[in-house]
Amino acid sequence: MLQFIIKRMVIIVPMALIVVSLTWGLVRLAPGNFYISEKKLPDAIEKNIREKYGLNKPVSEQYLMMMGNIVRGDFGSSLKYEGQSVNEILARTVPVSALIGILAYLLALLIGVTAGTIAALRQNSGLDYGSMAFAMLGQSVPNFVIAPILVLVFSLWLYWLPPARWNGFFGIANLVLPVVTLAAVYAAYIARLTRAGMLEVLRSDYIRTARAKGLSEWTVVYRHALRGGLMPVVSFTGPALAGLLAGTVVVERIYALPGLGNVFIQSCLNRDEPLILGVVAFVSVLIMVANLLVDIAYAYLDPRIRY
Amino acid sequence: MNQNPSNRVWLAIVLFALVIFVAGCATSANSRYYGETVPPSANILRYITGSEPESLDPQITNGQPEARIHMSMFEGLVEYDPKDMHPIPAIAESWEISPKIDELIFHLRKNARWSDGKAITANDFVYSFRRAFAPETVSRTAELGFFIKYAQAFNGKYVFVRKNGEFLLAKDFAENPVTETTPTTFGAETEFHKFIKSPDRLILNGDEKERAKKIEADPKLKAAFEGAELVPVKAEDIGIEAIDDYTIRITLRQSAPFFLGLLAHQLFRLVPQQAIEKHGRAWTRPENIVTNGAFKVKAHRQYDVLIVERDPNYWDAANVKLDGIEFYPSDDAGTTMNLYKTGYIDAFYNHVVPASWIDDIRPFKAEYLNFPENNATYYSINIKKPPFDNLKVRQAFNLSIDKDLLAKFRKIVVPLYDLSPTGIFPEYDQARKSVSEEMRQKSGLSEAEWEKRKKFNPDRARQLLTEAGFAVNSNGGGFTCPSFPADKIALSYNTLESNRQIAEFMQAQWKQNLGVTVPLKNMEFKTFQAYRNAVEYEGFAQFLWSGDYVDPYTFLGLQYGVGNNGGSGFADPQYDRMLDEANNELDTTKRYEKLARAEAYVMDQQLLIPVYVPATNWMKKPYVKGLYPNSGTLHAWKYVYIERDPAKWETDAENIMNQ
Amino acid sequence: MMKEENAKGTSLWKDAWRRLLKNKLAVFGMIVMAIMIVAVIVGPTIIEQLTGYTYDYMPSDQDLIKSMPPSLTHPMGTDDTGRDILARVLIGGRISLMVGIISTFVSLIIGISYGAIAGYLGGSIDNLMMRIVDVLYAIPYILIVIVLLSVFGKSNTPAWIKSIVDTIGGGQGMSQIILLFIALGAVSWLTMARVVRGQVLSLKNQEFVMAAKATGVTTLGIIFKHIVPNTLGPVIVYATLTIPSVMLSEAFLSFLGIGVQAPFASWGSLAADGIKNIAIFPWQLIFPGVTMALTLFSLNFLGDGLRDAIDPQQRKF
Repeated sequence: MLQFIIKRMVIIVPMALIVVSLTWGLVRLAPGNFYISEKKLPDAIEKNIREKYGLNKPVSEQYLMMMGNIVRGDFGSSLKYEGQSVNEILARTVPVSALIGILAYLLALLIGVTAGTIAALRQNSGLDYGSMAFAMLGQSVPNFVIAPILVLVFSLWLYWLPPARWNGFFGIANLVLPVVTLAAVYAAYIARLTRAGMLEVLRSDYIRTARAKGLSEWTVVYRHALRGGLMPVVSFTGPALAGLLAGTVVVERIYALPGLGNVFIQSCLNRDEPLILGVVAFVSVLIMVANLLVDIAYAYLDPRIRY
Repeated sequence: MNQNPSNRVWLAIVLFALVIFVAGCATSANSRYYGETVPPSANILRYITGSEPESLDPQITNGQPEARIHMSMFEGLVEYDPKDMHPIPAIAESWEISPKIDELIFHLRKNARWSDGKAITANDFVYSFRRAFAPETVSRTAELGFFIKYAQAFNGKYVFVRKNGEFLLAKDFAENPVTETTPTTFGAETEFHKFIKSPDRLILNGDEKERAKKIEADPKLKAAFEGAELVPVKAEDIGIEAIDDYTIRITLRQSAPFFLGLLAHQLFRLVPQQAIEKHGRAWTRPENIVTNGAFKVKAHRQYDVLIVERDPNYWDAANVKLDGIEFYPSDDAGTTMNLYKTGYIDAFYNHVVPASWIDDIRPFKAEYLNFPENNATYYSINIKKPPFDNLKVRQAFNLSIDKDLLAKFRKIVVPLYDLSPTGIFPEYDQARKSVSEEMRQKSGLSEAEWEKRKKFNPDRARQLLTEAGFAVNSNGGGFTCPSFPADKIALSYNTLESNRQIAEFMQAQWKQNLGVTVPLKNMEFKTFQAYRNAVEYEGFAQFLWSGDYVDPYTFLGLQYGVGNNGGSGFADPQYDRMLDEANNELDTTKRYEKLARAEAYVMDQQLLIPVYVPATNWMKKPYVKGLYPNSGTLHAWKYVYIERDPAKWETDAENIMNQ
Repeated sequence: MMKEENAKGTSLWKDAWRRLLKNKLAVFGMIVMAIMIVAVIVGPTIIEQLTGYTYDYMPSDQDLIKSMPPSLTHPMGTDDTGRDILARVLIGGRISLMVGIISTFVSLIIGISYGAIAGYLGGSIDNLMMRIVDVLYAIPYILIVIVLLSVFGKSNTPAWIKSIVDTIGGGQGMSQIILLFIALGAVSWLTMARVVRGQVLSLKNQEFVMAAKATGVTTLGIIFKHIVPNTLGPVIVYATLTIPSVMLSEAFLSFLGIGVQAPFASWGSLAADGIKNIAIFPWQLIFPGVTMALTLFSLNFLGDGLRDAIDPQQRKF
């Protein structure tokens, strides 16, 4: 097991470098560059720019320089946003995405686990169908449809909440709509996972035993069933949180939030190579670590799996 | 509980839709103002200026969103007038212009200081100007200052040629003989001035291969080049000079009557030598930046907010009315409109209100600003590729568009029939009219015929297309043009809903009037720009141009030289000569007439289809005063204030320019 | 369950079908999908016959070129240029469903072959192939789509795409849509490959595979003739769930402005247009949004039901 973990940890770094290299290739294949705009630049100015940023050097040399810097942990400076280092942009945007993501996930857990448990306990009742239909609805309505509708109702008609923008980590009013929008999808997913997990557990022998012992329904569910029933949710949490930390583009764009997802999309559209590569390196390591954790969790939870 | 669950789902959906509708119908409240209208508690303006600024360094950026931000924190010699955008004194108190309009002397005010308290002197300007053109600064807009003598040579790393201690002169190698003019003196005579006013030195490309090519092609040059040495053009060679601590002189390479107006552009705003030399590229960070405008940087969080606050060191601090401004980045019309309606911002930048909203927004007279803009939208034509290498085909496509109908449909635009917009340069409009009249008399057409020449004329368009070899047949109500290779061309534009709507309108017009269905092609912005600038497109490519200064030359210059700014692949020495001649003309009326002739000349070649002149199309809350809808949407922020007394709020923005 | 011989397999499929029909939500999903598919196929024609509106018909009367709320003539209202939203939702549905189905098909082909080969060969080849999948997972697909669309979207559209477009019509707009199918398919096969690989791992040591090996069937023959057919159950389930996710990806791309070409529309592009106008013309978002949500809703139910029916033991996800 330990050997497996070490093996996988060691391989993360070269894999992240491959991801970065391929992304670099894609950026170079994409037409346009960071300085192109409506006004065409005179050739001399374009030449100055290319010289300053080393774009006139042979491509192989540029690639090696880029890789060298990244291996040293230096992602360089944003090309589009003069004077801002990529590390600094990451340090500023990741906490924003993380805050929204974690809040949304907590809210989703609360709603999802409650709905899923109730549905499982009242299997095949109207309550079950109702909450599952609702969960499915949450999973089916794209968040770029939910978000504007929430804005329409709570901002434009009722004037209760701001329609967009970030107002610091304690600007709670600005957090409500993005968190709710983001939580909707996850709540739906968690509700379904919880229901499935609970159903399995409720059928198991030890629950039957607990019931036979005459324990109250509440104790049975809360003390015994939930623990086993939430296993699938636990294994879902790893990748879900990784995804949330990496920012969710749609929500951040619609609510104009300065998170990683928003910055990443902009950097792709801006062809801001160092920033793109920095974000990709960060996110790919994050995802691979999360996947590794999931594999470890599986091995831990299910003794049948061996590595 | 045995109901069919699908019934419940349907019920939920139907109920949900009903709620939305009932509420939606109830929204058209009859209010005087649009949404929440309460002045902010602090004396701070909240403004959306467009996308996140690329940099706070005014010499690097080239966008309008940045220009507006720079105007709050950096000043130059002159500032844009808040209403008509003509140059007004800023750090320069007063100025003199040489009779030939090729030299300008500025007298600086003595009380101007940086935000760190240091006094601003002429040397700061000399540093700033030299930095603007230094190749390593990589200014995107340096081209605007190429009228300054040797600025282009310095920026492009060109070299002078010295032989036997003497510099070779440009006139000795010119293709056309240059008329000698006696050097004039203007202002104090100095060593530098003698040098800069001496005859133009020969300038050669700094790149060895390029240079060799030119030398090989010119035997006279080749002979002169034997044994000569190369001297790189240095920062010290460009035409800016500190005569004393508070006087600077700018020397241009030729007459440029519009140059003074250009000096308010961000490129020429003063940048701090002390901060740049200390911090290098990081000088624009909030903790390092030193500014000289009415406001200084308090905080900058990317994609979030840029906060500027009143600078007590500013020379005119007593007249700055706001305590600060919060600039929010957003290029999304929906988000901006929502923030405005809910009262989280007080004003926003131009072109935001979607065309489809105009009918609903226009009634808010106190807030909606719809004024002409120093801007033009065209469709460039790739004149290198058939069938558009044929002038008649280009003309046919132009004449078959009902631009008046388009203007009606877009509601906020004025149809455009020329290269430069009408209504922005009143004197030029006069000149254009008289030139046009003169040409009409020469052509012998009646006034009505002449007038119709450029306007919507589907019959003539079909005739032209038929003459070009693509017969247009009438069938029932419509037309067909089977021989036209419509699948070989396209109308390209960058993805944006307003662009798409106009493209769809054009497509419908061509289909209706010529029987040609031009395919539409939308692309992500950067992809599109690369495609357009390289003239790789087939047929048409959308082209938006906003004027850099208030002079028609900002539009006419697009087709100048081989730079291909117009994106058509056009280059015509005859046209270049006409423009040069016009700019050498010192009399304003005569210059405008010459420009008008050049414009008529280039329009006859139909390199592009003029589409429309956009309107400012932005909003501000009625309590925001001193913010005017000028033709560039560039605001001198120190005049802006928040009016707390509702009795003094804006009532009708139509009259805002007469206040 | 699916591991047994083919003879028994038939009755298993019957069994699954019976179980599926018992699941009311899945039946609901099936009915809605059937209606939706019929609607997007014949709907545009019917609307045109009844009212004369097509997805790209713009009224010539100036007063009608504006967004009108729902009415009897336009049950879903009109968009900014006065076009009938119902007609556009139907044609948008045609493209969205096509994107979903065709891209899923592309991802099926790549995913099954890749996953099956990796799973069957096992060992270091499997490890390498799965690490490649991990790497591809981490590459931002928006970049892949930008590159694919721009490299092939310009003048050099590949000839075979041109020939397809020539037969089905639609011009350059259609060729971009086809590129979109390919681009989305090319990025959505990764999970499919994982699913198939997992199945193959558990199948490859079964007796019937051994038997095939013993009779001298080639490796490829074993993979595609014997193992792949037995993975179909989970694959079908997963495919049903891939369709909505691909549709969401397309909608997301349209939301960013890298989607279908005007005057075509997809549900995503219609919703993206509607978002901006939500304050004034809410119907521009509500109708495409609700139609899309309803479809995804049904597809998810159908997928869930299928999974329960085919493999009642496996209820993890």
